[in-house]
Amino acid sequence: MAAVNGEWGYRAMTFRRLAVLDSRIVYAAVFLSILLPLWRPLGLSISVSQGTFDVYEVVDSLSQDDTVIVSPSFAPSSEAEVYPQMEAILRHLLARKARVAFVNLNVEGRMYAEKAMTTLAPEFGYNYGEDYVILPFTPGLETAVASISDDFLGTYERDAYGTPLTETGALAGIRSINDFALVVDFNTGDTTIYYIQHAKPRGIPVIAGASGVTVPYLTPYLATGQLSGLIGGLRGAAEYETAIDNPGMALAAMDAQSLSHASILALIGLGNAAYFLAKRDDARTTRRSRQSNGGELK
Amino acid sequence: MKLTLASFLTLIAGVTVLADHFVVVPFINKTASTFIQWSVMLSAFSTALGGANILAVHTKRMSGKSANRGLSALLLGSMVTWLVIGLKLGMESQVYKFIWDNVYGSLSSTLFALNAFFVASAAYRSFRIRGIDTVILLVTACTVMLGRTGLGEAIYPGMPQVADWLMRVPNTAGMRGITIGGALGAISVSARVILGLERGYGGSERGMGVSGYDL
Repeated sequence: MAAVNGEWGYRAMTFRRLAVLDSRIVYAAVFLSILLPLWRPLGLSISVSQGTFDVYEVVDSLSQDDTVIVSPSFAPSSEAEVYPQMEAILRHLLARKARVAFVNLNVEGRMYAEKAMTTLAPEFGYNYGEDYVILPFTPGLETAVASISDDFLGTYERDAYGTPLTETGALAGIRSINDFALVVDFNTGDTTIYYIQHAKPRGIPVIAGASGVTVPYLTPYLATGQLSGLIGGLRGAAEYETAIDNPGMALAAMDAQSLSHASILALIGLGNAAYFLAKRDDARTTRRSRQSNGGELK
Repeated sequence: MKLTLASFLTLIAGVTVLADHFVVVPFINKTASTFIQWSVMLSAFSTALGGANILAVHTKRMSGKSANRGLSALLLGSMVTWLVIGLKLGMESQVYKFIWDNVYGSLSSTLFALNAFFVASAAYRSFRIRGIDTVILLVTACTVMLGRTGLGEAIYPGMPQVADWLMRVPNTAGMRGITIGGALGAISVSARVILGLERGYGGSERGMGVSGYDL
């Protein structure tokens, strides 16, 4: 009987050890699940969801005379998810020949606007000042959006490089926020909500690209129509790249996201299996121990 | 006196900007517009104030016997270096962009990327099925996680639609409740601030506490 107890005790201990697996093994599993698909892509296909198609439709309806506000309101922490969205939508905007005004609500915005246009402007024949303008960092977040919506030219007299806006052809016809055809906000926080609260009531459609964790906060505004379209996370960017038929960095990274999500789910499954097996064996060990000691249990 | 003046200015600014939403009176609309533009300048000033505060706190810490004075020195050194480069060479300079890409951007991305490992480790250790509520949570989490990947679509082609439905319907219902609750709270706090019942922003004239009830 003692041997049996020892065997069950050993199994329970093994499962218990598995339930508290060394963190380094978990980290290695996640690391490999990200690294391997980047090295050897799986080529998993991505379908375009209705939400992404709605954003595509809004951008595709723009004409050559339209001027659009693009607001890169994200930081390097979310760059991997949001920057591919921005590049994909900018590609579409530039293909539609829309003029672009970059509004920067955080300090990082200008750097992303410059980074994107360094690549895209030569490709689409865009000239700074004539076809697009980068506006200076505007502090205050909601108050900044309120100020831009209330009095655009009062908020901005010059662009980020000190040129008066009246001398930039891209914003020649702009007198107020009402002269813009669309606001596209790329965010990891509340900036889209500020545009919905202050620009949307003036009749300007708002679309957004958001990091995966921000999407749940914005979906209520989609249902009410206050937000005309939303793409979320790396998958949203990959879907948009598929929609514009221009595979880029998001599609390349989707396999890594697929396997990393799968590895986390597998780890949750393994953790639960170990937990239940350890619990079951604990119960068996206790029962057998009682039987051998007093024989109360039959 | 200081608190009374701050409360009076808050009342004027708050009521004017609020009234701007409801009435078309050129004087009120123009004044509200001016107040909103001032707020952008105040935000810029508060950024500078924040920088000055960091400078003061960490200079004091460096001169003391704090065990972390090395970290304070590193913080101030980085801050001053980047500030000087930005002001002297401009944000368009190669040096500024190099620091941006290779120091700030890389460090910030790395810190966020580490979350993936911590999330995996925490989920492995803590995400245990202990009842029906955790079963619902686990099934929902698995569906959304797989629905946001190509792998989920390969396993079951309808997975993205199921994940979208979860985001559009149950998530929206929950978020609406939270948003409306938060908005009601914001309205009540704003009303208290405008009416001078909440004056934590002004500190205390006696230098202790922040309650607005002690006038």
